Amino acid sequence: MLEIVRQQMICIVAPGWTGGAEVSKQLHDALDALLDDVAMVHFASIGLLPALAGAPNQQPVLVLELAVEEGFRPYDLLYRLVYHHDGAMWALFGSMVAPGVAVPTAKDKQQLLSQLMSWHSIADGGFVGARDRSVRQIKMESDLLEQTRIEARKLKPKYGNDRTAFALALARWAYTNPRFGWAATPAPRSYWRGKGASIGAKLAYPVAAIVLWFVVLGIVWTLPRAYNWFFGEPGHVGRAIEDAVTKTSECLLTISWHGLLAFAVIAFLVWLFLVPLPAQFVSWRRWLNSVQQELDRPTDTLSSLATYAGGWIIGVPLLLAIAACAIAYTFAPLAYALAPDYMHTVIEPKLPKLTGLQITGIAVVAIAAVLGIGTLFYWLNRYFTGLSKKFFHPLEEDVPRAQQIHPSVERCEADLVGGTQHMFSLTELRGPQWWSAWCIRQALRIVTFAGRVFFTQGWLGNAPGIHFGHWHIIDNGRRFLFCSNYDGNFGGYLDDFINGAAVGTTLAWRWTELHPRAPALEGQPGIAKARSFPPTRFVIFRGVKCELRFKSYARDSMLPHLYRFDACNRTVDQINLATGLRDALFGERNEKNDDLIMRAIET
Amino acid sequence: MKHAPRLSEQSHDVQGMLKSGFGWLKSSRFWLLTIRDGCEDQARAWLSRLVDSKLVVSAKCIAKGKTKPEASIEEAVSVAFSFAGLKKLGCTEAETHPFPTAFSSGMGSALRQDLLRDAPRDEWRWSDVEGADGRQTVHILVAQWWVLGATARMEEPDPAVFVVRTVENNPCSFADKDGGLREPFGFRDGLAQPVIRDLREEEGAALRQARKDAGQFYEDRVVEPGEFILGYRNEYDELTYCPNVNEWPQSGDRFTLNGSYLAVRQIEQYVDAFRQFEAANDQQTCERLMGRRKDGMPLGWQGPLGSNSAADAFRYRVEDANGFVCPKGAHIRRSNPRDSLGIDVQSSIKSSKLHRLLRRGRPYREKTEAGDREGIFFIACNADLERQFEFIHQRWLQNPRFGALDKQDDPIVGSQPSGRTFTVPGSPSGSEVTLASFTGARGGGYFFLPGIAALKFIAEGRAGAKLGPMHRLEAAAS
Repeated sequence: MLEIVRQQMICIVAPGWTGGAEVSKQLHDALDALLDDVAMVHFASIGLLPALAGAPNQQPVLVLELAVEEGFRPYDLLYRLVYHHDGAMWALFGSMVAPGVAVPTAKDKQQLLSQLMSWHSIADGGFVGARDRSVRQIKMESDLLEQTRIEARKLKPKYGNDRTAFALALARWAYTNPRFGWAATPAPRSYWRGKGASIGAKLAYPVAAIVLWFVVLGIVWTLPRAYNWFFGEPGHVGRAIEDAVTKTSECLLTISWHGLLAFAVIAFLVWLFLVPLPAQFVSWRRWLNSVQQELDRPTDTLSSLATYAGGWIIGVPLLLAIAACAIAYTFAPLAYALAPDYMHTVIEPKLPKLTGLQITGIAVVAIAAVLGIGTLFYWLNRYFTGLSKKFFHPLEEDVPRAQQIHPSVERCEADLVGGTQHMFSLTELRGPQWWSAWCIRQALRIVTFAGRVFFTQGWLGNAPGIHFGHWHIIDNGRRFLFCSNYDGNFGGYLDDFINGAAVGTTLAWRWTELHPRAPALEGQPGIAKARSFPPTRFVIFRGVKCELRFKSYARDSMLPHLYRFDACNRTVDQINLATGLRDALFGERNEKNDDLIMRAIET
Repeated sequence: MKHAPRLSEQSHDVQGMLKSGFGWLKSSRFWLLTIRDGCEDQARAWLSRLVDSKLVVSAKCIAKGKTKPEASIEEAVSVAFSFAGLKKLGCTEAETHPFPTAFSSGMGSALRQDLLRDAPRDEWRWSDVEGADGRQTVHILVAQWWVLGATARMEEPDPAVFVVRTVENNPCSFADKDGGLREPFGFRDGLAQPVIRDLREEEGAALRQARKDAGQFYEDRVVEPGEFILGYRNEYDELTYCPNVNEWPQSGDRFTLNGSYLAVRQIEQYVDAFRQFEAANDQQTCERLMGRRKDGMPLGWQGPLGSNSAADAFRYRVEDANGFVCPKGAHIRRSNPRDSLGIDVQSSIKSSKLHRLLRRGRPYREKTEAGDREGIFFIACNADLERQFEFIHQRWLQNPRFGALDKQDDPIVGSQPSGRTFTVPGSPSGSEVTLASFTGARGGGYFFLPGIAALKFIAEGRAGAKLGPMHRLEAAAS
């Protein structure tokens, strides 16, 4: 499933660029014509990366970023591009494959295709905002929206204030207009945006997997007995097999039950502390918010340092203890199966014997103690205001060279001010690089999965306006490339990440750093001083919340684009609006659809 | 571990305009000064005399204690410098803490023209960058306010030292019975200002009344001081970045502490065009363009005229999600979308607080051979030009795709050519009006409003280098 998303975002990373810092007008037009003609590329950009430190070839690395429709394998896509009659791909890459060949032969083209396949990198993770929509569909739906507005202007005097009649007239007009015959078929939706959109459908999968697992175990346990029932009592070997299968399946069954129970108890505790208790007790809610705020606080205060220390002294050991208990409880059946005597004679006597009433009592006391702590802090904060002010007042800090933007990057932003914005960001993986690469890939799997299954309405968390955002680990795990196509401006885009998707962004970028690097070519940005990603707390806190450091880090990592292609030039909101109008015009006539049509035409 | 400065202990160093718009000083004049080559010392001397005259009031002087500012302050002056001006006066930015790119490149640059989506700037007469043909490069901006009818005390700049341009007060600005400020189209102005936490203009009973009038919405307008004053905690809970200059003593606080950036625009308002539009349509349509009634109250306001605080106590998401009351593209809804753009009310309010401006402009009037020209001398104080002024201008006001709109920029200050449309949502499908061009910029620039100690440092030239962190207090107090 994730592969489908990852294949939509490709980067071709080609070392040894010998051209300049600009794409010629001729090549620019040829690329536009090519990408327009193949009609499956939403966005394309070309940028130059500085050569990898220590690489034998110190010429810049050319990156071609392609964001394409769902369902195309990279080979099919590249085949279409390379074998297109206008030859733009040869004009771009030919000199890096066979220098001096102006008109490629079939063999040259095959060589180029092979080379591009070896250079290509599908995204290690990514998010598609306006998904399930082809380039053609977006263009046609935009046309439908535009024409409907024009028609509505004509019909307005006739239908006045009768909304239902007005919507009906527009729907009739759309139905009878042969230009929009295609729209009668409902807009395609992938499973997680369509039938699987409800939370019930999403929960059904893990529940089904658990049930299936228990069914499989039950079948395995039953098999020897079924054999005996059919064929009579087994011999020695058969009895041994039956015994082994029975014990193994029973052990696995018990481990599974224990694991499920431990998971359920932990999930219940998490829910209890994060949902009903904050809802019921103000002091607990405030304390919980305060802990999160302190852990996220970008500028240190005594309170944030104390909370961080408290987290290490109390929080981490407590969580580890809970995890250890859950693991011990889950795997206890295995220990009993392997060493029953040791468990009975050595371990069991050491375990406290508590009744259910005692366990309940301890839980109640623990909750009361937690609430008491929250109340105490609230009370201290309220009545010792002087002390409190000092405790929460920021400490001095130094953030050097903030709010600096390279002119080439700003110029790119200014050129795209009327359309979809774009960024290239290049960072280095922190050492040990294999560990950073592994962590990043896990984080990106989570982000991609969440984006595919849960964030299906065009927002990544609470961050809107992302068309295609994707991450690539390149150069054998040494560098990390982030490409994004988004609505708005860069600062606002990062604000959205800080406020709307802080955890995912921190997880994806915290394993990187910036090393000094020379500009790829004159006029392009370089990095004079090394710097780290903003400091994080407990892996997921702080990080991107340090706005100055984060924006400065992101800005310094940016590279300008030399070429940019945007097939549709529509915002995510406009795309969603057009699809919504199509569904409303050609759907059943009801209040909701009528209102959607009216609101769409008045924008 | 040393604590960062506290605003309550630094208000003596903060220029007064960050605390108050000097609403009781109803005459104003804005001086746009260019230092002539070779006259830097005389310019500093003039600045020094200006500082010594005590007209550059601090935030501490305003409404402190029982004395109302009306009783004690009859004239006030604020001084700010463009990046070119700071350079001219000998300040060079520190390598480790340079000024933000937006400020150093200047509003007048070609790059920022594109970034801000400005219309061609053929009619700009002044800006903040050097080398723009036909435009005065403004080095120093002096804002002067004084009691209506009184004689101003400020020593006027010498034309031999400065190229002087003034933007004069519009005498009709406060002509209404209610004494409130009105801009040339006839709307109440200066409403819906953010309230700086720890530096509120209203105190005591006035504050209690403002809270009462705003009810649950009061906190929507309270913004952390770091959004407007450099060196303090901002809405991200982070200390705002403080650039530095090489000449400033390198130990202790930085040069820009207690300062702010001003985004300034001289916006001419085509009053005749607006009147014609009003005559062709009606007052209600004009109010919908603005998003407010002419008396300043929200469009959905019922009952008698409310206070300024009540006029700012509303949201959009729940009561007016579709823009039936205040159209989605209306000027005030674009410049402060309140709770309407995010995923829910709280996150939207939090997000919109990252993009607030403290407006300190005044209406102006200039006499020309062709007749009077009126407009607003717009001044917006902010601590992060890119995140605040530029974001609002580029993404909200001038963005033809703002919200879910299509090809519509701001109906009042939009830069698209005339003939553009404005949608008035409504049941069943709203209506459209065709707009003329109602405004045009005549100049603009980014300025740095220094703290009072930094201002003295600039005025005193290199002598100011003797100022240490402990001297900031003494310098500002003297």
